[in-house]
Amino acid sequence: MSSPRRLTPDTRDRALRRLRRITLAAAVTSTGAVGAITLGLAATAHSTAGTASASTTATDLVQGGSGSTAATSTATSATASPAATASAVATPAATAAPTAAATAAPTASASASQLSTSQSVQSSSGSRAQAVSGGSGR
Amino acid sequence: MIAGMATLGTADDSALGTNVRVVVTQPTLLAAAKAAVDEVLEDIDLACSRFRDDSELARLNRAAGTEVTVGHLLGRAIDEGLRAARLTDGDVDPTVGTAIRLAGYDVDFAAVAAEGAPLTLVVQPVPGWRAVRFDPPSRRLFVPTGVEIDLGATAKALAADLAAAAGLAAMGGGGILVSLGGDIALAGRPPDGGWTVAISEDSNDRVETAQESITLQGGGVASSSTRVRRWRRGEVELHHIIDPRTGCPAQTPWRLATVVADTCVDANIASTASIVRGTAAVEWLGSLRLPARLVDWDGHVVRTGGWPAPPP
Repeated sequence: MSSPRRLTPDTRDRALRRLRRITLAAAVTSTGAVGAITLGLAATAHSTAGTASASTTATDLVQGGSGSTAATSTATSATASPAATASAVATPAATAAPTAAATAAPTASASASQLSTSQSVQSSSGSRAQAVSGGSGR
Repeated sequence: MIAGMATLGTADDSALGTNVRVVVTQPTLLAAAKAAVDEVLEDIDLACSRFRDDSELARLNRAAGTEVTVGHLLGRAIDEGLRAARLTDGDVDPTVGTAIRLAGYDVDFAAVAAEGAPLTLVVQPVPGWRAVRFDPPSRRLFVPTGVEIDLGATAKALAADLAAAAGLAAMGGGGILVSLGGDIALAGRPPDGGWTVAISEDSNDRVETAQESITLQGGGVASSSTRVRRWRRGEVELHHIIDPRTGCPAQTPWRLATVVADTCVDANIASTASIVRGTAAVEWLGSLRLPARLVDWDGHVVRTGGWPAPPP
């Protein structure tokens, strides 16, 4: 039913570059102090028949409060092979009736093969704005 | 709250854990449009919420490892989520559910504790969208065991698109703007001069305090910010945009990314991907000719894809 994820060389290389430069801000210390960790990642990669994997070992650097101790983060695999089993059991339909939203007119690019726009954007005075686009406020 | 202002009608509300604004060009039909919008939002919440035990998505995640037939609306949302992953080379990935939950965003954001004990986060790629098998015509879906779907990156924007379409249909004409937490869909005939949208870090900000504004005739606008929906664990601040390749909140040079596209969901795909993609987003957005505005941590603004400079 499912097969292991196969990474393209480009994807593999991007993943490795990201892993190498990760600065991860999260770690637990024995006293609860937390600091920013720079992961010095020794990444290795190998490719076999198109399936890439990368293993990393994190040597961390803890900057933090008093009593902070080293913490370890480890990325054990970049292959992200799903733990999927081959068998799948069919179940009845979870929802039968279309909802109002599902029957609403489909959006123009519901199946568009690329992100695009035909919109022309002009600068404007904010005082007459009808809405604010920003991060999702509560 | 419903109010008519000048030639436009405006209704403000909240849903899906965020603010809702509906603006129509025919104020007398605002109530009908708002009712249609509300119905769509209720349907989306019941289908796609990660925080409701009775949502179809929650049932789907509990049934991981078995093949199921999903409803029309969840199927549409899954389809958009997988499409987002395809179009962004996995920068926007619906299999981040476990990662975002482990990072502490495991209930509706209003209930996420602003402060909490330190967490241990493991740098590990998410399972990846290719692990999900979905056949849109039959709506048969297989999610492997151990994979949790989160549609937060696309479902809200899809809801805005569908709500705008439903509101327009309820009015039988005119124009409508639907904003869900700053993800904005436009449908129908715009008001004279077009729709004006202010850009700010938080969609709750007042238009008067916005950084700049744009006018457009249709389509969608979406913003992704790493400065809102943040929480602190120990001394570390975390945010809600997960980098699928690390399974952790994205380390990004951008605090805000705003994109215009033909639909709100496409704009949201591009804005979210821009946060994850980092500096490479500038060239990527330019190649797609998507008007976009990116703000870095020092407040420097990068405009690309035809995004206009503000008036002097």
